[in-house]
Amino acid sequence: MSKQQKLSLSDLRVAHRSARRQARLKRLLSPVAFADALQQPLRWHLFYDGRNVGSAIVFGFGTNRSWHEGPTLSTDDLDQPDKLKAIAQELFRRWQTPGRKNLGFGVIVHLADELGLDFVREDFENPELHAQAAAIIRENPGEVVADFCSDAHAQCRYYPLFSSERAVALRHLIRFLPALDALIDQDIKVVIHSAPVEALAVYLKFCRQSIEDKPHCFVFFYDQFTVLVPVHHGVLDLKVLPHRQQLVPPTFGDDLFAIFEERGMVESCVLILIPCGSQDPTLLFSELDSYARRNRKNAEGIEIQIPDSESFWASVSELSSDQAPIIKRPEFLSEYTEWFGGADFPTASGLDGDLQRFGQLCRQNYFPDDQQSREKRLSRSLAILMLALRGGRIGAFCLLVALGAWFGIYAVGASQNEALHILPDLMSGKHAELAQLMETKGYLTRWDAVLTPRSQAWSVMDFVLGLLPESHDLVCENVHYGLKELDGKPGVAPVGKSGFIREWVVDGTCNDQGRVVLARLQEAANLNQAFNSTASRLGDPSFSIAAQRTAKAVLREEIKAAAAPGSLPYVFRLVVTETLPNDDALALSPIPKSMPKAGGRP
Amino acid sequence: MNRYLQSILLFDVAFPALLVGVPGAVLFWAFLSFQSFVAQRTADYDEYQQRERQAAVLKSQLAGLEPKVPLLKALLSGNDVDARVDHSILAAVEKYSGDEIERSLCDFEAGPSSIGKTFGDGRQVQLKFLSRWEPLNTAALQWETANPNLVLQTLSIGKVAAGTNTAPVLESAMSYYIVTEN
Repeated sequence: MSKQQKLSLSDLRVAHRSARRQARLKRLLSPVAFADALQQPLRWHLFYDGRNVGSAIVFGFGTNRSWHEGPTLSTDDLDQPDKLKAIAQELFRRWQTPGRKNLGFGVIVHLADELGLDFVREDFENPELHAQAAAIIRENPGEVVADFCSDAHAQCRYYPLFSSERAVALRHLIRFLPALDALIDQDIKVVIHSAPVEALAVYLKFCRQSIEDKPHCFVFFYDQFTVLVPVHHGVLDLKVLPHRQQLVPPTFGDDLFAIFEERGMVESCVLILIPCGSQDPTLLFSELDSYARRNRKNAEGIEIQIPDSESFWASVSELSSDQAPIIKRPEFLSEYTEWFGGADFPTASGLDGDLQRFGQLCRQNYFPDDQQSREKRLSRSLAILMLALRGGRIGAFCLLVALGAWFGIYAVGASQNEALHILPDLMSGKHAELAQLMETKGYLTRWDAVLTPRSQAWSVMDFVLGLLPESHDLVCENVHYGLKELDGKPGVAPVGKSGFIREWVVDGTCNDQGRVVLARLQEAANLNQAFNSTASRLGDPSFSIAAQRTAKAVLREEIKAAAAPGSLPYVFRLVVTETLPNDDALALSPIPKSMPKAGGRP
Repeated sequence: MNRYLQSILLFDVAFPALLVGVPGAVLFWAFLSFQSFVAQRTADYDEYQQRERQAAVLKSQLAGLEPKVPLLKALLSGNDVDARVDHSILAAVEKYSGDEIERSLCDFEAGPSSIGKTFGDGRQVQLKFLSRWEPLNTAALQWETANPNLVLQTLSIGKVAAGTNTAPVLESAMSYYIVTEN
């Protein structure tokens, strides 16, 4: 399991820079940018067996696939990131033409330098568990491989052998990982395949008919190791024999006969010695022959075949005759995925199942594929997220600029508004002035209503003179005047205005002519005329009889009891009342109890 | 967490949010504040203009009246109201000779008005005169003009004597309610 790393800011900056390179729009739109090396239109096959480097270029897929000579590399070049990167970039540049859109570049490394065979733990010996085991061995090989020795450069992969109902693990040492990482940094896809497994898949394909009936044993003779693969109605086992600095495996005979005897193949078996390295496979034959003689083994039932290169390439009928010299290596033929059947992983035993199975197993990628390694590659979803965030960032920035511009335009427009130039003091001063004026008006209005003349001695006296002009026919002895509110609720002060009554009581004496004058006053028209003429003469509206106001005169007269000669014979009492109702303009207003301060303007 | 994801969260989310979000928020806040300020000032200005118009109308209505407000205040003041009224009445009476008008009573008191409940409690003055009709009428006009806050409650006038060649002497009694602010 990978551990959560604490990343510094500089680490994150480097990661972000790398992510930014990978999350370009052009790359996201490319259908191959996030696909693996085998799906790239331009693929560079590199074979490495520890002594030699094979190289070939393939372009296109299916019937459009074409092979080309690859650049020549030395073994040292593989271990130099800069040089390998330069060669790859130059190669890519040569193939980049305007007509080739979305040209992706993949490097397929076929490793045959060091190979180890590991036994798997009992829990995973059942080949049916291949999917689970294949996933776990990438993350934590120690959980699958028995007696696992951790090695930073080693990568293990799980191989189920359904025909013998067991499983093994193969281990490759990948020594030039930094150089391959340098290619990945250049957005070049890299996969690492196991060359012996690829060779097995290819030979299973091309020897399918001949190995049907009789037990066979493939011997893949590489320079650093030899792989034994007994096959009888399916692949029965994988055995890796390291050469240990010798030309052939030191225990080749022992191991071979152990396999044959274990599986009863000694009496009848075809041993196919396949030269995969620079050494002649007859060395193996000689070694086997000497071993059989030395150990008195009966090898008469063992038929040995050494397929020659020409006949092999001739059997690869799909290839044109001029392409075989370019391809050079049978491992490169794992390129032809269509030869090995469908994409489903078969679980049936038998040759056909193994053919299809090894067609897929040979493409197992030995490039580190644990979580930590996967995190080094930017996934498509993260790239999309990053691009979307970049768009969002640009949008947000534009929004910010737009907001700023809008603000600016608004501010310029608003600055021309006169409202912003008027000083607040001026406004508040006007407010105070208006409040003062309103208060003054209210004060005047309130007191005007209260102080309007309603009852004054001079006008009351004048009215009496106007009503009863002094003459010899009519003499006033006493005049009484009173002002009274109209009756409200007893003991309760009226809430609003209140009407009132003014009453004049005039006592006097008169003769017959005077009686006529007094009698006329009892007529409403004459009495109203007397009030109205006083109102207009004195300019006092309280005497004006209009609207709801009423005026009434009541006269009582009698003959004077002891009238002196020459004196007026009648005494009279005239009571005149004027009534102003509650809704009259001059109705009494309550005196404000608490007056606001007024008239105090500076 | 994936180092790419961490770097994306930091450089593509957190930093931009800080670099764009904070100035954006500040700018937005400033914009809203300024907009609110302008709206407030415009409303204030509209109100100011309206007040200006109202003040102009009020000024025209109160033209010539404003200087009288202090006088009115002084008139309605409850301080020394008895003395002021007494002084006004005396001033009016003293313009005539004792044969024409003579004040026989001037009594100030506090209490409920005889008019009714509307005026309520307040200062009142009872006056009595011996006079002829015309001087009393004219003097009353003078003190009532000087004291418009005097409301006549009752008035009684009767003859007490009559000469042959002169106008009759009248005995009059009157009661005023004195309107004050207090």
